[in-house]
Amino acid sequence: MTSDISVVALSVQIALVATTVTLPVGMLLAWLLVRKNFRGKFVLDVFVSLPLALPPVVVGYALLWLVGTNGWIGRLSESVFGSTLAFTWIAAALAAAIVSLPLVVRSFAASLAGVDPRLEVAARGLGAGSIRTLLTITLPLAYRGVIAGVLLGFVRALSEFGATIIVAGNIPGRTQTLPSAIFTRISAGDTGDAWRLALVSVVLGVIALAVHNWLLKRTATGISSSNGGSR
Amino acid sequence: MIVEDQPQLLVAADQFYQSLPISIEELSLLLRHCSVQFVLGLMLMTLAASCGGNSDDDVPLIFAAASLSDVLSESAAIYERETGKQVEFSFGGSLTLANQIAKFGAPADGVFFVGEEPKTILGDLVNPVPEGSIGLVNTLLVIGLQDAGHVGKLSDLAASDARVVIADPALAPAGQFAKQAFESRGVWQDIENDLIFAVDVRAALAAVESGNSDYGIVYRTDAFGSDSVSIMNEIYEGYSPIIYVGRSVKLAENSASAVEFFEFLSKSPTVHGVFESTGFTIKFSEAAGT
Repeated sequence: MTSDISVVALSVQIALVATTVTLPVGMLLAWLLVRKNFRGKFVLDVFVSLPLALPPVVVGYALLWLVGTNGWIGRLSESVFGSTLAFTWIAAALAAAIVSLPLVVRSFAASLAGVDPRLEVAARGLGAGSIRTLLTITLPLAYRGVIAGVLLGFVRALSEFGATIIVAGNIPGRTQTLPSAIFTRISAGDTGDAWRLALVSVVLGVIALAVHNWLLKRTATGISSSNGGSR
Repeated sequence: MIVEDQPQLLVAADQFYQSLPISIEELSLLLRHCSVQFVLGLMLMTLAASCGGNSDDDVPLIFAAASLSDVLSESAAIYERETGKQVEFSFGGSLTLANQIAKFGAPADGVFFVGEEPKTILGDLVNPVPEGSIGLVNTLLVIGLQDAGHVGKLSDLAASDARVVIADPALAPAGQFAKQAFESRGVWQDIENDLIFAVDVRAALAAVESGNSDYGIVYRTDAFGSDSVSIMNEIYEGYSPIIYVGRSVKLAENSASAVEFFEFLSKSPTVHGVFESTGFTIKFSEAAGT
């Protein structure tokens, strides 16, 4: 039986990778959905939010077909790396990323919608490039939503179970995350272990939410002081 | 504006700088900004986390029946102590695991399953069992809560109102054997709708241990490891032979090291002691392909 520490480390690793993927993808999608008008926007919106409305097992099953031996991602990775991604920690990270993406995009989109486009237009009019506008106008103003989205996505990725166990299995030391380890302990009747790991996930959740609240508070004061000028 | 005596390298560097999508000035702005530090920190941590571990060269991954989790983990500890080599496992219902390998390419190097159906699912993805390989024989038991009334016969169980748990026949061979046992006594249709299905045989045992079910049908070896349930009756017949055998997976990366582990199981007297002390009967395969 693998140690609790390795289970927690793997869970955190998977959630961090998932968050790293959802951050840029989520920003791009939020920007498309809020600032652009194009054909099929409604479809994109529904597609991005769909994992929120589906049972995670369905997401896991769809992903399993994609990355398994019969799916096109599976065949691609088989020809490149010689093995499929199914039942690896990468598959678990993908599952966590897809399931947490709607939360991230929604949070980003809400904060982006709160940024007055005229400020961006003014910055562009004064000669700032698009990247500079993004970094000095859009992001600072949408900051709270971005932080909230990232942390929310991380917490969701950390607690992902349904999709993960389908696409990555439950292999101790390789793909067994905190929720699947708890599931195994409960199924096997190891109640002591199950409660201990449940407590660990409560602690992790509390830490993540505390960091979330602390960052939000800090940015709120940070923005008001930077309005003062010197910093 | 190429100055004549300017070294080629500087020209190239200048061109590279011009071609950057972001100027150095903008980059410094970016770095000054807190959110970006946060993102960079996150990415660095991820990178660091991803680099550690995951180096499983040569360590075979064995997909094995849930009912073997204790004995195989113990055997792996003996294996590591005596040879310095490691093994990793994924324990679960044999049918679930066999499907993961056959349908979705799960990265198993070896399997240690029970019954005919996993073998049928895997087909020629696995190698035949070599002659002289160890096989583990198990039987079924009726177990119950310690204060539950004594109901020994399967027909009595079917007639009673008690809650009975078995492993899900669609997921685990233990459930299929239990189903066969009820069927052979002609009482399956009486009890079918009153049964509780657990994901695997260990979950069935846990359901009785926790008091969520009055009785359960599990393997003899599962009851050996539990002191909170009492054995009601042994069921000796009415189901196919319950034999666990190890097979290596063809074309798997560490197929050879899986074979090595199975050979160790077949030979080591210490391991045989572990198997027998938990209630398994050892039977060596006679000819290749069994």
